[in-house]
Amino acid sequence: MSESSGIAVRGISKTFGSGADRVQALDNVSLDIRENEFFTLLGPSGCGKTTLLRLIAGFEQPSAGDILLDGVSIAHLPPFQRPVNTVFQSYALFPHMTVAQNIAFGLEMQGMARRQVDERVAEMMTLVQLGGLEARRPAQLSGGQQQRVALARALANHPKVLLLDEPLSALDLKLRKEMQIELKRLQLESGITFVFVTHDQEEALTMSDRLAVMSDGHILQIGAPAEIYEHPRHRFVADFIGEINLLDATAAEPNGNRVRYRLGGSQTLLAEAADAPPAGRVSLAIRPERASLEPAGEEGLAGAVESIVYIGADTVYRVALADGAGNFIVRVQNRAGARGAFAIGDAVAVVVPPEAIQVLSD
Amino acid sequence: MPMGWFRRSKTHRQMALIGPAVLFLAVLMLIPIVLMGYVSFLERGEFGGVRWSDHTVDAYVAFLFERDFDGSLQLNTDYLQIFLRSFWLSIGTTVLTLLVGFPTAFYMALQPPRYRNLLIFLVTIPFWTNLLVRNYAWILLLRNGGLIDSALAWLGLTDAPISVLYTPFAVAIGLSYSYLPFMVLPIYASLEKLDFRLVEAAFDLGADRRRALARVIIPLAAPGIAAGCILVFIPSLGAYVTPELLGGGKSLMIGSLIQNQFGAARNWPFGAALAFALLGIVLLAIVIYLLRFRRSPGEMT
Amino acid sequence: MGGGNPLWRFVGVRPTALFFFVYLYLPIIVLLVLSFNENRTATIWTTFSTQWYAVVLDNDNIMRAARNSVIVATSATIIATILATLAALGMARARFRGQDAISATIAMPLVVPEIVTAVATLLFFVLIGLKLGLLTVFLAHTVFCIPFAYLPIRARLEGMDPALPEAAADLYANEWQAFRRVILPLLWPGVASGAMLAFIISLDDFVITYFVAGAGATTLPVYIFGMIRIGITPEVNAISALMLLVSILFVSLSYLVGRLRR
Repeated sequence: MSESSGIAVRGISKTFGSGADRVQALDNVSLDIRENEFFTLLGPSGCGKTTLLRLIAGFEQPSAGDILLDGVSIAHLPPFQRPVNTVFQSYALFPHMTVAQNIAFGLEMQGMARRQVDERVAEMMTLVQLGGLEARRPAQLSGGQQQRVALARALANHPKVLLLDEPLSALDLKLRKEMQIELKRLQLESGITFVFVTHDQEEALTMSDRLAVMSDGHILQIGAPAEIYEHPRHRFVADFIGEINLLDATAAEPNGNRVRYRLGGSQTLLAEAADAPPAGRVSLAIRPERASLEPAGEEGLAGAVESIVYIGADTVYRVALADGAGNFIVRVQNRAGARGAFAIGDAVAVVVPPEAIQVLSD
Repeated sequence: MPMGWFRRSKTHRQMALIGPAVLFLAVLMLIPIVLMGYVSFLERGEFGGVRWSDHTVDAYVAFLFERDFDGSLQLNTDYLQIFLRSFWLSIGTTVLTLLVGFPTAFYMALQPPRYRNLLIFLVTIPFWTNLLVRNYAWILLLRNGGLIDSALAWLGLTDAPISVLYTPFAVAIGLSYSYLPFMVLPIYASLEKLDFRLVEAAFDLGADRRRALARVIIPLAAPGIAAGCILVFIPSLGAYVTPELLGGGKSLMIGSLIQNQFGAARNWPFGAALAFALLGIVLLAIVIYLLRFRRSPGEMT
Repeated sequence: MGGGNPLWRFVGVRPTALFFFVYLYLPIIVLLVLSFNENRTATIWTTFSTQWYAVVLDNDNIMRAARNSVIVATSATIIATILATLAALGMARARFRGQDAISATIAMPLVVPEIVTAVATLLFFVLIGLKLGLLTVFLAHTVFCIPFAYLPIRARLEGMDPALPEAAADLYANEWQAFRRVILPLLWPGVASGAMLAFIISLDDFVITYFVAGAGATTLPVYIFGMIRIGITPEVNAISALMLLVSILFVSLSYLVGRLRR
């Protein structure tokens, strides 16, 4: 093995229930999470991301497949024998224990001596900036503070892997942004592998080293945030991550190292051939900020402005394409003040550079 | 105004609604208990009843002493022994029901919701059936020549009658049987409310099942466990039917002793004093429970 | 979370639960089976027979006691249910001082040991000079029936959407109309369920009745107690089985009605 692998998920399947109630939560999922990386499982609710996390934690047993930690199978160990700790979505702080007792719990379970436990707890309290709150009960803390205790409680055990199940979802926006930075800091300082579950694509993009996009029990794509954003390989991934225009098209004729696609009527678009193997019916994915608006007559997709939404830094134009080719969203930076050059009803041309088009098979 | 009664202030209407029930209970429950306390300080009548004009603490003295022929007081621990026996039998019953009740409640809480309701129903049914009948069924099972005796003899495990009926052991079995649902239901209620992710968190932090039980599950179910213990202990301590039927009516417990004062012994003040003492113990247990568990950590979440 | 996941398999939990349910139902089943035993010696099985039920139903004393039981249970249930319903309505969403004291008063018959209630009630009737008989039994039963009727009604009210009477008022119903057309139809399963529980509790009561029933007011449980004290006979098996079946029937009904339209 050339690369020391943190967690290797090998062909994991998980079904719940039986008969008519049978639910396939994960279907033959494989995945490698490297040591010291911030890895995110991203997907809508019900995609299986939490189930995968619970399998790694040991709360559930896989129906098939194996999970390796540093090359050793842990799939059938109970959670209390795995060097892995979890930050729960609900935090799951013990309500009958103080903050310090909560953080000390895992250390006591490992049989650590009292004095070392106390030292480690103090160290953790400083790390998560909660000094002075040792004797409080969880119910006496704010949501953000509870979150920090949950982190400290898990990190205190120096786990090989920290699992985080939508830990920020209960916080308000401002606190969530703060905690995103905080989590990233803790991950870098501790050098622990983080496996983070979220349904928030923005959170996933800003925090992760790599992420896996999941849907319906499958992993669709794994990659670095920029790669996933710029080069989605599935319609679902393109649609789920950020805003995107998806246009139905058929390949018309090759044109050098480019391919011309027909959208409907006389509308056509030229795309890079590099990622355009499929002939026949395809989807063209184009980020709104990669297109530009020009006056009608320019080389591009003809249409008329249908709505204009001003959102501060940008203005978002919704263009109804001619010949029933669908709608197209264009996001234009407001360089020249609030007033744009176009008004509702104006005939325009949507100009898309060939390298901005991602061709997806359906 | 035709609806005048309903249009009066909200508080008035609430009082009018609550009033009848509270009045009924005050007259037929509160006043009688106060009266019972009063009677315990009266002289006994010669042929039963009481002498309303003569006040004395004889009934309370009689609990520990008996008057000799010459009028001097001699220590007599007969009644104290009955109280202690009742106390220990009730404690034993409480422990027995707890040992069986907690795992049962835990088992129920781990079942899928649709099975849980059925199980709760099964636990409650016996409670609604006649106490006499349920205890009578145990006579059929426990007596010599009864089902258990015959079964043991047939299996060759015993060569003489088991002679369990009419012993304190039979009473403990009967009491446990009578009040087991009272132990299971409150424990189940607190376990059902328990967030099982807390148990997962304990597992995650390295606690095995035994330590998760000791450090997380039991502390969080403590209010339910305490409620169950109180609910079993109180009726056990005051039990009359079970010691009468399964204990052979040998004044084994307080209940029989009290009843006896209104029957054969015809000593109403003493009976009232015994009942008053019993009530005192019960109230003490409840007060301790309320002080300790009213605002329990488990319910602060 | 239970079911197949081995993580939740705690040692001894399942066997203990199994033991519990066997322990709970074995005596009841044995009694029911033996009540159909033809043999004179109540515990030795010979052949199936319903003859002891016939003997019981033919016994004038038993039938008289049963009639007393039904009279007392019916009247106590009616009065207790009315009082409990009114009280539950008054306590619903109420926030006032003394509320805890009122709740405690209503719950008192559940907390005070039966034998204490029995002694106190007996002394009270003797003091006010009320002759012991069906009336005293009825009064005493109504007392402990109130909390049993109250609790399901209260639970039903608590589960009701507080916006419902407001919605009714918004649609031009006055308070009485709102009560009759909205609250009451939603409340009645709770009332019926509470009434049935009160009825069984009254029908089954022994200790308090034993103290406050005069010579002519023997109820069925008091009569059965007397029979058991004399000896174990097939007649006792049969009448006990009948009481069991009546109780189980009523509690099942109460359970089903209480779940209506939930």
